[in-house]
Amino acid sequence: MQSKRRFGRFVRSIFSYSILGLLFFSSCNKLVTVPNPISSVTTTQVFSSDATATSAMMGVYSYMSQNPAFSNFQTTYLCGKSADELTDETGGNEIYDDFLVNKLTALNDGPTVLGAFWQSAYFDIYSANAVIAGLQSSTGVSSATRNQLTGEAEFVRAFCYFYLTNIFGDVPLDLNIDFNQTVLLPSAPQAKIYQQILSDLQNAQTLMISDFSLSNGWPIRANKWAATALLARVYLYRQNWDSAYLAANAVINSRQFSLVPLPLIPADGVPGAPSNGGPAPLSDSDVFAANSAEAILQLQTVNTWPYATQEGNFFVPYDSNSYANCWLTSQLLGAFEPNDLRRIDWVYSTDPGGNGIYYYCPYKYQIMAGNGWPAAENYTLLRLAEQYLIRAEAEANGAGGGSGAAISDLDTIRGRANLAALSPTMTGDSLMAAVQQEWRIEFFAEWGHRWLDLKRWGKAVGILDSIPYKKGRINSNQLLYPIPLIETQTDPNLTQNPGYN
Amino acid sequence: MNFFSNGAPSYREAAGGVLPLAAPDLTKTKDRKTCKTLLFKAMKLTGLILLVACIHVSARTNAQRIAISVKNAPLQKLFAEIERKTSFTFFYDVTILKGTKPVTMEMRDASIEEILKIALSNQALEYTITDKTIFVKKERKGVAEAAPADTMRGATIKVKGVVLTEVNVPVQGANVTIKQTEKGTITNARGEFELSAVPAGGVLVFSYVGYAPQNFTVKDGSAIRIIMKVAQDELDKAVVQAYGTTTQRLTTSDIGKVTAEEIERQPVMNPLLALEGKVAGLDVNMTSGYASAPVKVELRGRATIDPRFTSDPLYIIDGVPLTISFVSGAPSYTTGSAGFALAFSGPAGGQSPFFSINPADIESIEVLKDADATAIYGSRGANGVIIVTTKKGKAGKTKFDLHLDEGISRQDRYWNMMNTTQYLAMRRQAFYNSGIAPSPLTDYDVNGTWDTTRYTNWQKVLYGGTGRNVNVQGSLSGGDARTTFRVAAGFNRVTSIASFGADQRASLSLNFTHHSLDQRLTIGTSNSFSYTESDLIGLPGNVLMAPDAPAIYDSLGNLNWAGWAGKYQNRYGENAFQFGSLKQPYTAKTNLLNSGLNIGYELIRGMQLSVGFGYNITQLNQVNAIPIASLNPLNNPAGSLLLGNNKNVNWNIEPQLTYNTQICRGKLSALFGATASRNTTDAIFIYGSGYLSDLLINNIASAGSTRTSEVYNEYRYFGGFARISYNWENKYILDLNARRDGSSRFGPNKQFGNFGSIGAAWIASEEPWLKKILPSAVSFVKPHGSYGITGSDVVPDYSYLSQYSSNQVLPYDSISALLSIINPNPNFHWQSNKKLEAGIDLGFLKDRINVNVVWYRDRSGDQLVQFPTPVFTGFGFVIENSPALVENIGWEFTVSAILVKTSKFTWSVNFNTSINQNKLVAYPNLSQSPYATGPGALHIGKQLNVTNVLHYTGIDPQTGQYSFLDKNHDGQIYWNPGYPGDDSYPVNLAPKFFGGLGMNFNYGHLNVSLSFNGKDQIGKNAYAAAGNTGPPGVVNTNEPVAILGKQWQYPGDATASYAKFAAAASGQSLNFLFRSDGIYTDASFIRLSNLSISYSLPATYLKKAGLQACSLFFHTNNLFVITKYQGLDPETQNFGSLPPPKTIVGGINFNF
Repeated sequence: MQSKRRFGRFVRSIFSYSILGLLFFSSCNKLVTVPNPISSVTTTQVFSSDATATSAMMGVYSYMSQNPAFSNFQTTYLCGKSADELTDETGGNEIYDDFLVNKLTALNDGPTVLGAFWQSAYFDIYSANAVIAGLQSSTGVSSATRNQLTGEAEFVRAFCYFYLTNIFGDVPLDLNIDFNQTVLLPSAPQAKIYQQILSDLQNAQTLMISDFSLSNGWPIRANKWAATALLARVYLYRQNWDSAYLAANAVINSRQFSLVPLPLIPADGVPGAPSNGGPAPLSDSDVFAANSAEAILQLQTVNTWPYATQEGNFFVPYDSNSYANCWLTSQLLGAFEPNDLRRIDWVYSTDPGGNGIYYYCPYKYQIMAGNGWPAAENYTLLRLAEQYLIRAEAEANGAGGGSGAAISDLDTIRGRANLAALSPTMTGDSLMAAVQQEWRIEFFAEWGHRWLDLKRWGKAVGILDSIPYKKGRINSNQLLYPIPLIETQTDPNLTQNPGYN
Repeated sequence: MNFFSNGAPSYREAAGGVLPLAAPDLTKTKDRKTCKTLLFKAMKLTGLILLVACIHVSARTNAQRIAISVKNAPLQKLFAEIERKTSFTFFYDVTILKGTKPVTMEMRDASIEEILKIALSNQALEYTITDKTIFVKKERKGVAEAAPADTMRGATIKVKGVVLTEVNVPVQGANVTIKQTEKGTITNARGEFELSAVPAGGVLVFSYVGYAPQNFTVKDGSAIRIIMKVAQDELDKAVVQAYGTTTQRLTTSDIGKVTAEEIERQPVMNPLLALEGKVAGLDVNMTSGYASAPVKVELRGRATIDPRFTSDPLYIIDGVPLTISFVSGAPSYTTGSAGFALAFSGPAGGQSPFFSINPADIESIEVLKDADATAIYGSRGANGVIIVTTKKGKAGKTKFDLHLDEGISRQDRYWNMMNTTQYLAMRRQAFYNSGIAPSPLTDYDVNGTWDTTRYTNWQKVLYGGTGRNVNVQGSLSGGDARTTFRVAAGFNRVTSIASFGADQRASLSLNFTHHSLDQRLTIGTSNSFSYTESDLIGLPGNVLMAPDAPAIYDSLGNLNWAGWAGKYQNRYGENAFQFGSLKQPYTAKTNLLNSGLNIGYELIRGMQLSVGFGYNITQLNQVNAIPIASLNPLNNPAGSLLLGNNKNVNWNIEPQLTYNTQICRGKLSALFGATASRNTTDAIFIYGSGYLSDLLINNIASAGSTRTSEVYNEYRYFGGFARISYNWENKYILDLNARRDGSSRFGPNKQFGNFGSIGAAWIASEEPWLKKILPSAVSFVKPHGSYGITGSDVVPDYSYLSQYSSNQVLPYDSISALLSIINPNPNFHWQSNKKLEAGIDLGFLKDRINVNVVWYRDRSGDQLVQFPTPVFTGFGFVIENSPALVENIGWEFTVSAILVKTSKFTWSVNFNTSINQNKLVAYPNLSQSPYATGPGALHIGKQLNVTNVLHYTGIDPQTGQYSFLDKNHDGQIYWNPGYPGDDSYPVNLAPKFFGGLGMNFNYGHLNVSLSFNGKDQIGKNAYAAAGNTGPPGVVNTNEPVAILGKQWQYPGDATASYAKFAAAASGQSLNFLFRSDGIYTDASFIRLSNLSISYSLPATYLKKAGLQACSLFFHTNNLFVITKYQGLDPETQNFGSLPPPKTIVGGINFNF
């Protein structure tokens, strides 16, 4: 009996000690608190100084440059195939061929559309949002840096949304980095996206400096002119001709940029077919060279891969015996006027079978392998030639100096390509046709310009349906890519584009 | 175990009160005689019990009646007669029979009591009966007529004594119990005890974990000296548990043990590999044939959905946890942890932490399985716990052991591939079938570029070398009652069968323990240091290369790029020649220091305060050079250099308070403690490129450009724990564990979690009523069970914290760039694992045969998963707890038996097998999760280890293409698991069951032991595993001879089992084949993992040489595999990776 009582006492004391012990433990939060990580920095730390905040913005550019997706290569390649610019062998990768024959479905193209466009564009937006939010709550960053970086981030956000809404139509408008607040966003109407793009760019214009002094004179960070140039394009797409004219005019008249002359004969001496294996030597006078005078904004090549740009690596064949990964359509080749220097300088041909059957591929970026670092080519986002074409198209639609000024602007671009001046009396449809022809040739295989242009001109279905492998497949639903399936699955508030359900 | 021996008695003998065998103090002459008699009786007794056991005599009670007839017989003869006719044994000192009168009696149907009453009347003798033993002693005046129970009420005496081991080391914490009253005490640090109120003639029972219990009959108040002997009975041997030791007999939990003996027999460098097939439920897989390669260990099935989290259990070496932090990207469930090699994985796919541990220093490895065993490790015990205990010095004569062995490894399982003639015939047929001509650019094997008279068996070139093994181990150990030590050093080197590469380890270990003069203070330290060096290269080439391919080196000894690429010298030649890695050496040098210090102090009797400090540090430097000489000169290559700098540091502090006491009729032990630990993992990766000369390649400063990334994790962990266990008369045992854990991997307010378990066991065979019912062959029955909750915090460190990093992003405009790396979520918390287990332990024939059967159900809920978020939020997922539930239900059987034991020959067997059923029970919104699609898409109700494949239906007789089942009857075959239109179905990849069988034969000085392990599983067939992705006949790809004649040959050919030969892939048929069950095959196997023969030289020879012992041995590993699997090895199914070799070593062991 006594022992039982003793046992009871013992149990009671054990319990009270345990409870005391547990109380002690729960106050030991310190023992399970770790210092901030070393291999990463917390967001608060990042936005505590000018230098680290700048690093966060550099991260945005660097990611855009090194990730061969939306902002590097895939827009050119996949939109080029959806349009009438690029083609590749059938029987290869079927998923990619769905772009070529315009038969995308939400089902099997989810991963490709997701990886090539959606994911990387939205990650860039997320990173830009993070910079904007970080700067807003920061106290340690100087106001000059805060303005410039906010402007750059707003530019990047606008740039990404421009492509997203042109490729997908209505997309979620995500301006927040807290996933709790964004997971259930609905699709925003395109008008709302454009509203955001405009407000970002207008704001960015006022916040950013107007030269490249922050990047040692290299056009590798967005400045006021980049925002203005993109604004010009946005106004053009919104058919706000006067604003487009004014913005393009401002860029052209800034005298910060100049058109780079095209060589009459390529550096290797063989028009359209450089010698086996060796890329042509580059100089600053090449349009797509790093620090080109024509560039309004380029992404610096940061990878130490043995080539400069992803496009140079993918489009330029290994040697004149090799097949290219992808080549220009016969429609595009047929659209070049004779002796166009762009046909001579920007197209490469190979004869892999040795049987006189040539394949032609884009040769705007020419570094295929191994010129080391720093690379001689950077990836161009915005260049001056576009501003001439924007101004021309706005003028052709009645803005500024009207058709005469439009023809003069077109002739500036044509003159560089060693083409004759247009008839100065062109107006109306024939002038518009000349504008469209110049867009097509000047910006072939570049950032999907052709695909976006065909769509905004309302000519996509009509023109593409005349291409045999697209015939009967292309319809207005195919002009918008499907929202990736995984997104509509995880966010039930998203609206799938018509024809993909 | 010691069935025939006359040494220490088994637990049962003693607990039954049969044998009060107190080892006498030989200094006291008056006891010497008793000793002799007792020994004599003990021998007789054991023999008798054996006889009884063997003839399966069922137990009879005191009520048994016999007939007896003696004439003028001495008492001794009468007793013998009674012993012969009953199951009773007499116990007496022969001296008391002097002067007794012979008896004459004739009785029928008489009870023992009736017989003895008559026989002992007027003899001045008395008797008592306890169980089946009849004690006969001199009659005492006054108490002569008293029954034994009455003695208790009589005068009591105070007893003092000391409990020592055989080498006179005090035993602290031994239980001393008065048998009659079940009261008792605990010995103090000096082994001393004191008991008042011991009835005269009372029996004291001494017990201590790992030692055979002893009984001692108290005669008077003189001091008692008890020498405890190490238990020989399997059930009573010490087993290491969490923070202490126990025995298989008394534990309520489920612990598997592998002894030093079993580990030493296996010539493996990594001690984890010695566990394969040894413990039920423990699945050990080598990931490649490199000695340093990571080992994938999984206990009782996969519990975690997230494929990034490994199944690794918690490893504890001498009390110090060996933790390696999760480093994003490095670990994966399928390939296991990359171990120490975190910066980059290298040719072996990582480096096992246990490669740095010398198996020769290991005393035992315990595998803690159920909730009761692991809950005290709280959150870290979810995947089980593996405790490694190193060898310690023992008091006694100083011993010097020297072990030398040397041996070879080879691979002689080859796959029968086509020779050049057959190969070329196949290729030509393929061109004919495809209607194309050989390309001058690619088809070097047939277009005249390569010499078609050459023949190379690439398997022999790649794996046909002979590896050399050298192993030297020396140790010095000894000590006295106060101080013991062990110093050991070892060197082990294994060269690869790939004829390039070697793994080596040098290690030093130092253990010592010291007790203060009053024995109350104890200090112990164990330290091991090891240095390993792995010189490897990535396995070049591939076994499917064309047999007429040119030599690897040209006449100058340079890589033969030109010879392989032919006159065109273009990139196709680069693709064909795959031996660049031959000149790309990889070296990994690792230093490991593991150090533990334990200080204990006895506060009061039975109460011990101790603190353990542990520290380990690993430094691993990796260097992998890619010189210009290893690259195709056509590309004007530049060299590059990969450097990895890995550092892993753990420290922990564990204060503990233990208290052991007797309460009521039971033993109570209580443990309270806390643990605080910190782990830092730092991996720096430097990639230097643009080397213009191979002379500079080893200097990172000479690189044209460098890229550096670093991953640094700090992990802190704090827990408080308590264990209370109560053992009522060795019959009812209850074990309670509680733990509160905090982990730095969780956000503020989510750091702490509570865990605990309850375990109970009932040693039913101790119940007298059951004993009566049980056949006597059944010696031990223990049902046991446990239930508990443990947790898991396997998420990347800092997942709750918003962070930027430079690791994934390159500097821009020469400014270092930062990028957000995760969607932080501060709200996730502990994953919970609820473990339920029930089992029964049975002993037969005096525990000669032990059988354990265990059923368990582990349910892992609150799964920490990558919870899907729309990608437009920045990232596709956040770490979150999902209510998903994973269940593992299984059975484990373990049998160990001594089949034959005679003085010359012993044959023992042990066997284990386990079956595990893994199931995803629930996963809300699975269809929206990242786990809904892809090859490994999950399905509710199916196991986690699935692959989703088409069902292969053979060769289409009309087209000669592979055909598949159109599961959804939509008219087309479509593989895209998780998406509509998909035709795939899940195939289970986890083994159905696995197990091991070990046998040990001892004949005189010769010992032979065998161990097998086996698995019932499916795996990728060698054809697919070799990386063959084209139809038979495609460029530069050899095929097995077996397909000849079985390929499709003409439309309507219904007997074909391989597609028609084709020079180019056409259509989806082949792509689909590699996504179908057509590439899976039975990969079940039985492997003779170990055969070991040793011969110990007879003592007579040794004396002359001054040796204690000396043995010669052969150890082998992986001698043969019985399997239907084709290819090199059913376990390392990847045909391209290095298969496990067979190893034979021979050596000699000296003990001085």
